[in-house]
Amino acid sequence: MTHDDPKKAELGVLVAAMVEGVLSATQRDRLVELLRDYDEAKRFYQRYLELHAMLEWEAGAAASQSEPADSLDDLLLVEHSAEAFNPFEPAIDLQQARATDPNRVTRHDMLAAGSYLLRHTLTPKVIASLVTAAAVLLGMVLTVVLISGTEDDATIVEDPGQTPAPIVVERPIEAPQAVATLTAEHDAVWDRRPGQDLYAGQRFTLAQGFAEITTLRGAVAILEAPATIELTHSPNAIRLHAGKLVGVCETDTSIGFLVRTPHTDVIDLGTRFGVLVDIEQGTLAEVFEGEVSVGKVGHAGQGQSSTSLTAGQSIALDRLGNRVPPDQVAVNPFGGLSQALAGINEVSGQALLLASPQPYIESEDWPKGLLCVFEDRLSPLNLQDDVTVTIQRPGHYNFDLFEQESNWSGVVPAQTLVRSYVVLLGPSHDRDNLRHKASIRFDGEVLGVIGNPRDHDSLQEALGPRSVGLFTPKAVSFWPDGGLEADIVTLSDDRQGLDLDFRTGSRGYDMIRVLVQAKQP
Amino acid sequence: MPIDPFLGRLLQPPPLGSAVSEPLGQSDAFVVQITTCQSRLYAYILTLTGDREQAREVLQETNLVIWRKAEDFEPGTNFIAWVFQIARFQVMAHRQKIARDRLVFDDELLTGITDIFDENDPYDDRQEALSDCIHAITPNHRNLLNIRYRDGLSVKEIAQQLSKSPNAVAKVLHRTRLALMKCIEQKLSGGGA
Repeated sequence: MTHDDPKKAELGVLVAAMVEGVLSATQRDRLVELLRDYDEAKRFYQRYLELHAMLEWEAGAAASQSEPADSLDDLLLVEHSAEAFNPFEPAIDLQQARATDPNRVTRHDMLAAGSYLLRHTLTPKVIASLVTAAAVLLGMVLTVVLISGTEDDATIVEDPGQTPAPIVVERPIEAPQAVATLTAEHDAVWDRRPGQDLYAGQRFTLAQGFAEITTLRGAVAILEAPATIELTHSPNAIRLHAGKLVGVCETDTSIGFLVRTPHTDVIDLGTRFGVLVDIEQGTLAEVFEGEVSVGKVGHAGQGQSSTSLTAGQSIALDRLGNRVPPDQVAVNPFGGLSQALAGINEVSGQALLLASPQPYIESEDWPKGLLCVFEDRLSPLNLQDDVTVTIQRPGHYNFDLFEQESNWSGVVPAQTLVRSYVVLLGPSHDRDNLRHKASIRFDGEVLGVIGNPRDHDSLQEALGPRSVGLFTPKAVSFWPDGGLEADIVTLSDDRQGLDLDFRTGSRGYDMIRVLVQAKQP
Repeated sequence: MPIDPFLGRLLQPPPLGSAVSEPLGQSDAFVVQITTCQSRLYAYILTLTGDREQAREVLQETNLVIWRKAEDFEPGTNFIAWVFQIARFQVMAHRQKIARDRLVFDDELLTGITDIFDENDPYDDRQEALSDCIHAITPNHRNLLNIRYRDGLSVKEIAQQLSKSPNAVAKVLHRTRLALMKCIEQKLSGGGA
C-alpha cells in the first residue's frame, strides 16, 4: 500500500466512518480485509484512532467556548480537494498563540494540578479509602456515563441490511482469570514466553515449533505449529481452532480435559490422545493410550450421542459432524510427537524437548507408533568434551544396549559441531514377531551412534547444559530389560543412513543416540 | 478535564458508611502513573475495540483491575507495558460478553493490531504536538473539532444544525484529522506545521 494507493484513501474513509460510528457491516468487512492484508494499513489505523482518542481527551481541557455552529457554514461550502485542503492558518506563531491564549489548558497543566492534589490530599490511608470508594462508585458512574452517552445514529452510507446487534449478557468478568500456563516451548514462534500465565479468552496462533500448555487442572496440551488455540473460562479445557494438539492427562484432576474444536468435542477419560483440526475438512481424534469420548460440540460424554475411543482407535468427523470413512483419513497425522509421548512417563516440561523429526525414516516394519526420531532440544551444539560412540564407521554392529559395549567404538572430539538425535524403538508386544527393521536417513554424516548408558551420560556432559537431553533420571524405565538376541545397527557406506534390526519383544523402549555432523552456520 | 474519569472518581469522598480497607500499598507515584496514562490507555483500548462506548466500558474495567493488581507491579519496570497487558486481557474478556456481530475485528486481526503498538512510542510527545497543531489550524476548523469532540455532537447532529449533508461534515472532519496527523509527524521529525 503506497502513499498514493487508492486503497489508502479507501482505508481513510472506512476508518473515518468507524470513528463517526456509522460503519456499515459491508464497510466493516472491507476494513478488516484491508487491515489484515497491509501492515501499513494497521499503522495508519492505529495513528488515526490514537488521534481520535487524543482529541476526545484534549476536548476536556479546551476551555474556550466554541463559536455558534453557523459560523462553520463557510467551511462546509467549499469542496476541498485532498491536496488543497489546508486547515492551518498561515504564518501562525505557535509560541505566541500559546502565550496569548489565556484559556488554553495543556496536558501538563492538568498533570500539575493532579500532582498537587495527590501531593496534598492523598495520604496512603486516604488513598486506600478512595480506592474503596472508587470501586463502589465505578458501577454507578459507569451507568451514568452509559446513560448520558451521545447516541450517534448518523448514517453517511446507508446500509438497510444493518440491524441493531443484540447484547449477550453473560456473567461479568472482574479480572483476568489465569486458566493455564505455558510450561515449555521448542523453536516456537509466537508472542508468548515460557512460564507465562494464560488467561480465559486469550487466543494464540503458534506459527512455528512446539508449545506445551498445562491447564490449572494439570492437563498437558502439546501444540504443533501451525495451530490456533483459545483459552476458555474452564480450568480444564482448550479450544483448538486449527492445527494439531496432543493431550496428556495423567493426574486425577485433569481427567475430563475437554478439547473443543469448531466441529467436535473431545473429552479425555484419562489418557493420551491427539486432535487435528482442519477448518475446511473437519476434526480427527486419535487415542494413543486410555480412552476418550468424542461427539459433536456439547455432546461428548453423553451416551448415545457420543463415541468412545480406546487406544489405537481414531475417528474423523467432517465439518457437519458426520463420520469420514477411514480410507479418507490421513495416516499417522500426529507424527513422532505422539509416538514419543507414548514412551515418556513424565511429560510436563519434557515433551517440548522433542523437535520435529528431520531425519527421514526411509522404511520400517515397526508397529505403528513405536519408532521415532527426534533432535535434542538445543541441537546443534559444539561438544564441550570428547564423546565415546559405539559406531563410527560403516558396517554391522551388535548392540547390547544395557550391558556391553559394541564391538567397535571411537571418539567424536570436543568442539565438533553436532546434531544430536534420539531414536526411540518401542516394544511390539507381538509374540509372533519379535524382531523389526527400519532404515533412517540423516541430512548429514553420521559421526557416531551411542547405545551404552555410560556413553549417554558422557554425551550429556559433553553437550553442556544438563537440560539439553531428552530424558530425566526417571526415564530409566525406557531402558530395555535385557534381551536374548542382539540389536543390530548398520551404518551405511555413505555414512548418512542407519539400518536397524532390533529385538522388540522386551517391555521397555530402546533408545540410541545418533550424532550427525552439523553444517556450519 | 471531564474525560479523566478515574482521577475524578478518585478524588470524590467515599460514601458514608462505606468500608475503608487497609492501605493497599499504592504509592503516590503509582497514582500519578495511573492518572497520566489514562489518555494513552484509552487510545489503546479504543484502537482494539474500534467502538467508543466499548472502549469506555473496558477502560473502567481495566482501571479497576489495575488497582486490584497494584501490588503485582514491579517498580522500575515498564508501567505502560503492564497496563497495556491488563487492558488487552480486559478487551478480550469484554469480547466474550458481547455479541459477535458487535465485534469489529476477529481475534487474529486483533492480535495483529496489538503487535503494532510500541510501549516505548513517544506518546506524550505526540500529544504535545497535537496541542500545538490544534492551535495552528483555522478557528473554523478548531470550532468544528470543538463541536464534534467537546460538545459531543455527532456528524448528523452537526449536519442538521448546518443544513448540510452528514457526508460533507464527515469529510471535513476526516481531512482535518489527516492534516493533524501530518502536522504531528512533521513536528516529531523536526519540521514545522
